[in-house]
Amino acid sequence: MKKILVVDNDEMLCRLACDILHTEGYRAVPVTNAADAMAAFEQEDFDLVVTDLGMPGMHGVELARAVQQKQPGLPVIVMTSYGEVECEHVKLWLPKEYLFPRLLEKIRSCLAEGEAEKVAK
Amino acid sequence: MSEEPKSYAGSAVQEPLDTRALDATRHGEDTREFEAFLRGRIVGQDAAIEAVTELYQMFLVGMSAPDRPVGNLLFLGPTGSGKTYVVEVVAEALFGNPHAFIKVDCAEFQEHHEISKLIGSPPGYIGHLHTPPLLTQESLAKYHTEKLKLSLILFDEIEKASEALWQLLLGILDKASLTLGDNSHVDLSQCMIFMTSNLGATEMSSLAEGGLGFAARAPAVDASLDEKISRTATEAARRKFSPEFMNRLDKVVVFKTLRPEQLAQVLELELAKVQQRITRAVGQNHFTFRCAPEVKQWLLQEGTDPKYGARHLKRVIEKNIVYALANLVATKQVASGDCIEITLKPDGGLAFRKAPVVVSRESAAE
Repeated sequence: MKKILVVDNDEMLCRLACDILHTEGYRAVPVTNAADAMAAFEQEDFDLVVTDLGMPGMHGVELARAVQQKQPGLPVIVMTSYGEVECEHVKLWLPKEYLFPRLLEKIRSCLAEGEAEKVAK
Repeated sequence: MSEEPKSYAGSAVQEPLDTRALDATRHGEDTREFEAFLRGRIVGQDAAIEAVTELYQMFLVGMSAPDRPVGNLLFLGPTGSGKTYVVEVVAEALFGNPHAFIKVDCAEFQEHHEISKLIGSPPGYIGHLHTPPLLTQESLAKYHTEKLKLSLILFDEIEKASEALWQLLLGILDKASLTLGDNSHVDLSQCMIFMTSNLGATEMSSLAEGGLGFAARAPAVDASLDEKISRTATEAARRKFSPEFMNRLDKVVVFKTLRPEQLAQVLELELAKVQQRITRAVGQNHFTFRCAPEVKQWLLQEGTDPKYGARHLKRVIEKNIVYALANLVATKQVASGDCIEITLKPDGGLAFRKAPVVVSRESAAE
């Protein structure tokens, strides 16, 4: 079962997104800030990270950079209500408008790409 | 003059023996709770509920047949009628987890050699001791609790099983025993074994056409049709399965095609589950939603049909209700305590709006 870390300071969205991902057959771990996200990485590896952009403390792009230092090549999807920023650490930007089911499609394609890269190596 | 008969108990008048009639149909408290749980979640499949309840009652009082599984049940019926769902609900009732059972998808065991996935590779074969068997004493005990040492095993779509799996199954159903690739024995006498099959589904559908499903019919016709469908399914099973197999079954249950009013009940259950999910997922910050009657009708049209039953209903609810509610949360259009009303747009899509807040006189006065 693929493991996804979901980071959003909006607890309601965070938990609801995890619930939907769980229904889709993923193991989704909800955390509501970047510090908890980094703590989660101390304990286990993930296959993908979905994070909000605007969070108090460390924002989504900083988190993407930090987790990729720990786990290089890890795909990070950033959900945003504002707009995109050029950043090599972010695999994909997703506007929060009409988030579902696009988020699920993108998660599937990111994980499939990751698998294909593993096989190629 | 003859003497009065004497009582050995010392009393001249003997108390009459307790000859009250006993009610052998009554269930114990635990079984009644179990049955109530099943009835609250399973729609239109009373025969399946009764079969499982009887076996559970026997197990609880320790009267299950010795050296056999607790029960061997064959579920026949059309797709989307809830055969696998019944096992999930039983698992939820017993262990609080709808996935607390071992599922053997027989479609994955169509080739003879694939049996090693189930019992491990035999000695001398590559992978011996490295192929973890699916059915082990440990895996059976995985969901056991202090109070309940019962395991549930589901063999799904058994008509697709290979001959090797059939032979294995015959042994399990008869002796409740299985020998693994490493020669260790697995005791399945504390197991309830469920098998499902779609055999006869095509014949059942053709019988039901114009009758079951969405067409309204008189109750008398219903009863005779149900009888016909049941006979058709059982005959199809007898044609496909050997007498040795059929003789080892405790009960064959034929699932009925769900009727419109039953599908409506299934919808209500599924919508209630979505609300529970929201409450569970977001805790105290939860919001509620309610669907207008025309929305329910639309969901039923999209998610059910006479051929596939309620199979797609969950998916339709997920795509049209759950994703939409999550989008509303993501864009902060929904806050804690809101009630979302869902109605049908004239063009057929769903419309979401916040229900007006009803202020009671008492709170208005404060």
